[in-house]
Formats: sequence, C-alpha cells, structure tokens
Amino acid sequence: MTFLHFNCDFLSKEVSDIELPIEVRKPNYALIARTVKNQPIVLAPGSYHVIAHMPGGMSVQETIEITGLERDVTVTLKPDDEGVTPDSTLEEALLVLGRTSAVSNSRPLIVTRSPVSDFRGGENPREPVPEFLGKKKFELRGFSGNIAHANQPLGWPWYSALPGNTTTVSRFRIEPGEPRVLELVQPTRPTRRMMLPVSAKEGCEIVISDRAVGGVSLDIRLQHVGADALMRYLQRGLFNSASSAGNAIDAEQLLARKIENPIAATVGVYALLRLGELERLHDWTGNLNDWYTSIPDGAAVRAEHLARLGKHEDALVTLLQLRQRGVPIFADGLSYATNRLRQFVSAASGPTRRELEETLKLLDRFASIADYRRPYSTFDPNDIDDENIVDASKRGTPVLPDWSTR
Amino acid sequence: MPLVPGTTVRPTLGSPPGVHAFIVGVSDYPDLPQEGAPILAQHFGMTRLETPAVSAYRIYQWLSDVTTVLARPLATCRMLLLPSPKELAQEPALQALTTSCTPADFLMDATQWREDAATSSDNITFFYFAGHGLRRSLDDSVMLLQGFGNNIGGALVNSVDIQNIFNGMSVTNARPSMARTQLYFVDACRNFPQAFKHLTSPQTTEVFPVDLSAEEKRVAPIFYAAASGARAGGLADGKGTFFGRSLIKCLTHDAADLIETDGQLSWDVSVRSLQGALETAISEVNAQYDVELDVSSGGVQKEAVICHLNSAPMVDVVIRVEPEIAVPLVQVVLRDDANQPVTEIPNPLTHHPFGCRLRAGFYSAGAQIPSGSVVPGGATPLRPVAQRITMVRPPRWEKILKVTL
Repeated sequence: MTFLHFNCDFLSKEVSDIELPIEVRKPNYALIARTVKNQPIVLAPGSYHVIAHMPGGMSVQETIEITGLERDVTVTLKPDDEGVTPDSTLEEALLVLGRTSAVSNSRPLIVTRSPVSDFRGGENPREPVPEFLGKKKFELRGFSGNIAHANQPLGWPWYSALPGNTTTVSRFRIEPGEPRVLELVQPTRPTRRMMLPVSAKEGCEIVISDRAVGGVSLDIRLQHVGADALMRYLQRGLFNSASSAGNAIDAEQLLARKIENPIAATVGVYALLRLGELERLHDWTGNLNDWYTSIPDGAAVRAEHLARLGKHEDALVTLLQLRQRGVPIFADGLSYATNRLRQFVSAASGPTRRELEETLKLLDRFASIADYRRPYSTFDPNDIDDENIVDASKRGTPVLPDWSTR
Repeated sequence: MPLVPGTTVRPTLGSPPGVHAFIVGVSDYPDLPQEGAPILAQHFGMTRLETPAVSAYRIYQWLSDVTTVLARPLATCRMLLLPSPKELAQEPALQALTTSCTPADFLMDATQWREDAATSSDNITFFYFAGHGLRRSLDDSVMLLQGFGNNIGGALVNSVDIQNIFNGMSVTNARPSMARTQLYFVDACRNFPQAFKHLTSPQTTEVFPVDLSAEEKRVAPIFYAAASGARAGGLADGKGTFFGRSLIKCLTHDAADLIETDGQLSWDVSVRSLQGALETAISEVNAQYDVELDVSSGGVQKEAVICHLNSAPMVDVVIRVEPEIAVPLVQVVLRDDANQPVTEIPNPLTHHPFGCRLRAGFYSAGAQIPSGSVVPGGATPLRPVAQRITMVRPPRWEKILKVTL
C-alpha cells in the first residue's frame, strides 16, 4: 500500500494555502475517497484520478499510477493550459471567486483625491474616490457598530487599496476592529449595506469588480483563507467539498484557534451546523458566545446548537442576548435566530414571551429587507417603504439612522 | 390520493420502512384573478398559475414509476392537485387526480402523513409543494393554498409555512420513531410582496402544534426553488416549473455519482450530490431562458442516499475549435480513459461545434493538425492540442480546443 500526498502549484500563495477538498476516483469513475490537500490517503496499486475542487467552482485534475513499490507518492495539482492566468490576482479571481470574464486591459486603477462634482463623496477630503475606466464610480462608507444600533461614520483611514488593482477588479483591505457596517454607494444603483466580517483581530478584503451589465459587484474575502474557502463551498452548494474541508481540519482547528480567529471560527460553526455535524461542535459554541460578545453570531449559533440538542430553555435565554448584541454578521445567523424566536414565541407566555417578541421584532425589521443570496447580512434600505428610513446617499449625510428605535 | 395505487394498507409501528410522500401542486387558485383580469387589494398582486400542478404530478410520476429505485420502497403517497385549464389540456390524466387544496385538506393529509412517517425511524419522507409562495422574513417560506385571496379572515389564514411543518416533523418524546431522513422541496416564490409590508405580523395556519422536546437527529434538507427574496418561475402552457423540471432531471440523471462500497458499485443520488446538481441545473435554466433564478437550501444537510440509478448517466458533450476558421485543418480526437477512441468523429468536422453524448466517466479530447499548418488566409501557425484526461459528469461537458497561441 502507498501513501498518496497532494501538492498544489498555483501562482498565488493564497490559493496554494487553501485546504482544497480532493476526490480520488478509479478509472471507472467510482469515487473511492474524499480528503483534503494536507491529508494523505492510502491506496492499493492501480491507476487513479485525483480531482481538486476550487472554491470558485473549477476543478483541477491529475492522473496517477500507483505501483506499490513506493511508500509515498506525491501528486501535484495545477490548472491546465486553458486555466492559465497572467498573474496571481487574476488566478485568485478565477479559482476562488469564480470570475471567468477576461480582463480587458491592465490599466491601473485611478484613485482621485478629491470628490467628484457629479457624485457626492465622503465628508473626509482625504478619502479617495475610486474611478473605474474613468467613468464609473462607487464609494465605500464605513460606520461603526452593529447595524441594529446607532452608527457613526468611521474615521479615516478604515480601508486601504491593495496593490495590483486594475480598472476592472480592485481590492481593498479592511482593518481589524470593532463591529462595523459597510455601505456601497453607486450613483445609479440602490445603496447596499452589509455587516462586515471583522473582529478586533481580523480584518477582511473587499473585491470590487466591474459588471458588464453596469455598476460594480462586491465580494468579501475573509482574512482566514480556509474559512473563506469553506464559506464559498457552502454558497455554491458544494456540500461534499465543504464537508471534506470541514471534516479534515478547518472547522475543528478554527474553533480550537478561535482566540486568534473568532470570525473564522464562526464560519466553522456555521458550516458544522449546516452540515448537521453537531458532534464536532462540543462546547465551543458556548466559548465563542462567551468570549466574543462583540460578535452577535455567537449568540445565534449557540442558541441554535442548544436547540438542536433539545436544550430549548437555555437556547431561549441565549437568543435574548441579541437585543443588545444586534444583527448577526452572517445571514445564516439571522435565519437561525428568527426561526427559533418564532418557534419559542409560540410556546412561551408572560414576560418571557414579551421579551422574545421584542427580540424577534428587532431582528424581523432587518430580516424582511435582507438579501439572503449573500452570506453576510446584507440590506437594501430602499426595500423599506418608510419615509423615516433615509438613503444616506440621497440625503448626502453619512450617518445611518438608528433603526433600533423603530 | 392517500395511498400508493394498488395498496390500501397504512403502516403501523414496526412496519417495514418506506418512503412516505406528500405532494401538493396548486395552480388554479379560485379566489385569485386570471392573468390580465383586475387585481384587487385582497389578491396582494397575485394571479392564478399555470405550472405548479403539473410539476407536482411529474414528481408523483417519478416516485411511483417502476423504474425509480428509491432508497426505500414507496410506502404511501398523498397528493393534492388543483391544476389549471392549460395543465389539464396538456395532461388529461390530471383530471382524475384533481382535488381541493384548502387548509383543511392540507391539515388532514399532513397529519396522516406524519403519523405514517412516525412508524419507523428508518422511514424517509418526501414533501414537495408547488404553488404561490412568499416569505415574511429570512429562512421562511409561506405556501399559499386554495382560498388565498378570498378576503375572509387574516391575510395568510389560507397558507402554511415550511418551518412549522419542519419543526412538527421533529423526533420528539411523543414520536420517538419519527423518520430520520426527511426531504423537503418548496417550489414557490419567496419574495416579500410590497402589499404585505403594511400588515402586522401576518400569521399562517398552524399545521402542527409546537413540541419542543427532543434533540435534532434528522437528515432533513429543505430545497427552495427561489433564494429568499426572489421569485421562482416556469414554462408557459403547462410544461411545469423550472425547479420541478430541474429537480426531476437531477433525481433521474444529473445528480448521480458512482460510489464504491465494500466492492459494490452503485450510482447514487444523495442529498449533497443533489444540492450541487440543482445549482448547476438552475444555472443552465438561467442561461437557456434568460432568467435569474436561484436555488437555496436550509434545514439539516447531512448526507443520505435518495435513490439509485440503474446505469451511468449520459453527458452532453460539445467540442469547439478556436479559431473556428481552423476547423477544416483540425482532426478532433475523443478518447476514453484507456486511450481508445470513443466515437466516430468526421475528419474534418462536418458540423461545428461537434456534439455527442457519452456516459459519465473520464475522457480526453485533443486536436491533431498537419505539421506546418497556418490559419487559413493568414500566417498564424496552428498548434495541436494534447489529450488531457478530464472527468466528464452530467449535465454537460464543453471542451474548447484552442489551436493558436
């Protein structure tokens, strides 16, 4: 028997560092093993096909012959000729984000330093107003705190442009810090607001891409490469790949290392909840909830975990924490919380029922305008037919209204 | 239709495990206007439909077909169908299966369905709803029944919600032998109509009372036809919903994978393979019909086998040569994993792009070109494309052979 090891040969170190889910199949197509890049498997002599599934939806594949004469064999996975991209940024866009459109040119992104006259910029005169192709514009605004509470604009600088940006794909680094809300403002598109997946120890990356149909699209990449990949597999419905990635290392180690990476640990928890692998959660959801009170998702996942264990009273008490902690960063958390609250409201009475109803009312206001096709709690305030909710870009003030008082 | 045709026996505790299906398809909402007729406030912007009932019927046909190999035998099947005139014209068999689909009908069937499902933990349940739907908040899907729009009672009194059903089908102290594998398919819109935004917490009809007792032990995925906030859709003239058609295509073909267990081979469709295949199938629908559909999932997505196929699924293969002008000079070669040619390919190609069908497996495609060839009418040299083994899986494999640098 031979140990088969896996190696990746990508331009981007970040892509190479992803704990890729791998399938090993026989020539007759039969699936014989699922593993991840850093977990070798034992194979009998024979011919095998090794397929690695990328977060962006592509696969890379190699064929290997195991003779049985060697104890260890390594297979190197790399994109084929048709998947070659000119640089690591574009490789990441293709293999991680799944962006297949070719870059039309390599002109650098122009970042002007003064507000553009036909589009209101930020109040801070030092804040850059990016240009795409010399015409399209967007603005990123940041507000401190949870979206459920009063928000104040963040002081500059709270993000920075990353090197290697072009006129069609640009990346910005969001620094670690306390909870914050991102607002993407475009002149002819609805303003979008989303909770940012950051903690005191973790920042994230924002990827803005030019859309052929007009406007720009926004993608968020987590600081932890493994957690980012895990979330993309879940988003694409690649649950086998997500399960491999979760089973092998990511979810457990993320939870074990939650002191350094609470956001990444939260992703791991969501994955295990989605996949129904409660036995792997142990009591880590309790620690996540207790140690990181600034991350509201801790309460949502802890409550969900307890409810699935049949500990409904404890789950109920945990959910009430969300009145103070606010809207979860991840859409799944908002989903879990509102579903459980609705269930508990039906079964409760007296003061407890009133408290549950107040908590549900707070979250429901956001749940009704959320875009659940996105993994992060994302809201389009224009969905609210309410004169009191003002689109900040129209009014021209960068202060988000306090929705908690509605 | 309470039971599988040909049987009259309901299961009891200890009966052999089986699949217990509950299928609902509501198209001809009698209290909603026809397309083009005046829409009143009580209609909340909705009209009658033309695709859900036939989609539900197709699901029933698949479940009860003798060639369908479910993970457990089909034990019971309950179905409520309210087809539209167009669906009846397209599928006359629906006439004999037409029922009413009121909340009372739904509650009766759901209650019996749950009782049957609770006879063995090895049972599998299969729930499919097609019709009007909406959401009130995030992971919420409200399914509208007959009577919606009649302006009697609360706005959603003639509707039920999936979370209540999902919770009511839990393993509890009262039902310790509840089926551990439960499949839910909600083929309905999940948008939040403007007309509802001014209502204060509209309530649906409760299907099952809340029972908070036991630990979650199920494999219980919920597959939604539309992402929360989006609309579902279908083909006109009674051909069925996009999701329903895609679901059957995946269950019978696209979602199958060859699994080897203890030396035995089996083409299995599982919860997780189905999720991935549905994503791909809906992407194809979007491309073909220029729509923007999405599928999403909820519930508990543990792995479980849904059904088996008797043979390998076929894959549509499309091979293109770039640049197309080079086609007369290119010999396309398609080989299997043993490097043997798998099909006769004209040399040069008589039609382009070249299409064929292959069984799922490993293949390679390459381009052979006479030495010294250049692009016709130019000087750009053409280069051969080496064969490279690729996993070819449903529904489609498109290979582009680039013969210039």
